[in-house]
Amino acid sequence: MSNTNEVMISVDGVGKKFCRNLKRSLFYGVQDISREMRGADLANYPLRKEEFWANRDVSFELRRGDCLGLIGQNGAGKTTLLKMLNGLIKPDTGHIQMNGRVGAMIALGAGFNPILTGRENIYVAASVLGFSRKEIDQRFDEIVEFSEIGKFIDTPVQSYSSGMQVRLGFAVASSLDPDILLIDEVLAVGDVGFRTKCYNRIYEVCKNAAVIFVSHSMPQIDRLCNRALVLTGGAVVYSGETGPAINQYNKLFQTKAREWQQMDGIDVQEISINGIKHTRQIDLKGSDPLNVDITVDAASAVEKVEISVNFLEKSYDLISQANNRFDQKYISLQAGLNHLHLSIDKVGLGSGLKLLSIAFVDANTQKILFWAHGGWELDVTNDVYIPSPGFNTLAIENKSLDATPSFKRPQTLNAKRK
Amino acid sequence: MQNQSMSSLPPHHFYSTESSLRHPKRFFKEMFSDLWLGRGLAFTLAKRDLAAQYRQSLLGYVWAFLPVLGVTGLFTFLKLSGAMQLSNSGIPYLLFSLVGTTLWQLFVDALNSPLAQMNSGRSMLIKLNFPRESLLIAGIIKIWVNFGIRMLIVIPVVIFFLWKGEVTLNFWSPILFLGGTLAVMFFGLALGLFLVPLGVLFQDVQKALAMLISFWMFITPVVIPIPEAGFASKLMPINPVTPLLDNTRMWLLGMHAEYITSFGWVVLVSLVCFLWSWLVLRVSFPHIIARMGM
Repeated sequence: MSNTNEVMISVDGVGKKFCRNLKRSLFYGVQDISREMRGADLANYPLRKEEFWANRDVSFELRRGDCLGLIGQNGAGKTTLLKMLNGLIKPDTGHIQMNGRVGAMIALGAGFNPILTGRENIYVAASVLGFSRKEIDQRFDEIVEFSEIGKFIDTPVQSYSSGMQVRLGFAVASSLDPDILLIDEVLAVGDVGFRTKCYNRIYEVCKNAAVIFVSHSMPQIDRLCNRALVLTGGAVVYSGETGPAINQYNKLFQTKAREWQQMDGIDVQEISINGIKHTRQIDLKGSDPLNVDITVDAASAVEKVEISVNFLEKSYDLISQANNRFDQKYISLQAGLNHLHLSIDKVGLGSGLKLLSIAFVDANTQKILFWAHGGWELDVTNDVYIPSPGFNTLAIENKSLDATPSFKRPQTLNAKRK
Repeated sequence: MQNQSMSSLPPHHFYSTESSLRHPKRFFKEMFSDLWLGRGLAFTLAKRDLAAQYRQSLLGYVWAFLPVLGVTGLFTFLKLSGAMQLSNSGIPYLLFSLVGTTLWQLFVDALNSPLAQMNSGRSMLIKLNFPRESLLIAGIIKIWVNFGIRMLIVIPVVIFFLWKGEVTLNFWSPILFLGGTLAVMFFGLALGLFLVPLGVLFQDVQKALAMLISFWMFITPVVIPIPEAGFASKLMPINPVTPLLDNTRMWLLGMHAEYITSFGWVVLVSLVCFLWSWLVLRVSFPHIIARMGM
């Protein structure tokens, strides 16, 4: 039955108009209703005063087994598009064909009543999604187990944390097995453990459905989606492979100028990344090592220095960190020039543009000695999905210290956390 | 099993800019299939709302009939104290005003229900595609449950006056009364449904409705029998709620109902108004949902 070549979603030249002014928008609503009552076609009308295109000329096709990442900045028209696909609002141009049962996770827990218990709300939320009472009975235990709500199941939902509500909502919504699944950014609230569980479940659904996934988390888009659509101002600026799409998305954000901040008495003279000096962008693979050579001139010796190497998303969200503080293996800086060599075996990064930042902290005073925040761009390309380890193994060596035995000789450090 | 569970959404959807009324056959088919598919959800939603309605209160369901008792008590007191001179309706006044208030409350509940249901279901409407008629049916269920609770007070009072010999029932009384209450509710519902598209967009509708209702009550023989003279004696008979409410009360108490013809007309108008409003509402949904917020 599930033919992988089957077109599940076909969107052709779809556009949607919205009005900036609320009162005018309400009036246009009445106008639209009367136009439709007269049997008129909405495509025949031009933009009215204060209207703009929330979506413009969007076209794509999705087959079973496809997972399309829908990315774009806030207000780019992602939710509007999902709402049209779900039949909640009508397009103003073009048309949409949806072949199959549609499940939408645009809102988790729609229909939840705060005064009622989790148990009662499961029945309500599942009925809204189209389950019969019998079907809910059959899936009830599975839903409760997945949501990890446990003994709070008979507690009113108003005393649940937002994370618990999202867990319960997702557990209900994901127990459907639709042909087409629309997922808006609904999982941002859950904790990491639960999010991972959710993504695994979405991944399972992807195998046998056409999925559209909206997220601002590029690692997740990279992991789940085989195609992506970048929206800007309601229009498609890129449609195709996930990697280039993520780069396109990242270009939408202005890159901040390289910022080096250092305390008096510390002068970082040079940093080379993988042997390249004065570079801003480095191309590498997610499984590549990273070697950083730093030349630092210190006015006086610093006994305990903490060094962290951070990998960031373009949005400055931390992906993973390497830090010698994790196992308290600090290094020392001598007065004068120091040549530091930092190495990471495997960066473990997903595709797309990432940022690299490096910081030195005096471990005794907790003062920041040096900070290059998002100073380098790493252009990562992967053939396969690479999970972020969260923490990298960092080896640090102060080569200059060989000449100064008066210092306690630091060992090659292995900052690793389990 | 999945086919069954998600059958509320037919497997193929085509969304275009064309008016949905261009395909009347499909339009009407979907209207009634959604009504049918929404029934299970309607019960769940009604149960949810009824369960939550009085959970955070000490008196609970007593609140369903307390306001009605309050109004009845107030007017009975005014009547007894002689502060208010009313024409004689031929029915013990307590019974007249209690049944009148109960029926009036049924009408008001029905009138407010469609708009209130749409407003409280806002978060679902803007995010999920489900048979939206279920919200309306859930509203009707809630109206009847609350009416039923009030009848638990009305029935013993009727029995009391029966025992005292001040009223007589006949065999048809309960059936006619049931038909009458259905007509009262249906008229309110049709009118309420008519106001939904505009009412969801503009809050003015709800505010104006609240004002209108308090005025409307006094040109309806709810607690005041139709006077013999004065402007009320002319206004009350042309008020469409009058034949519904007065006939129904008379039927319950086994008495002669005056307004048979106008009752029929109002029911007919309600039916037309209901179908028309339902159709307009279905056409309106994408447009009002687009303006309900993200």
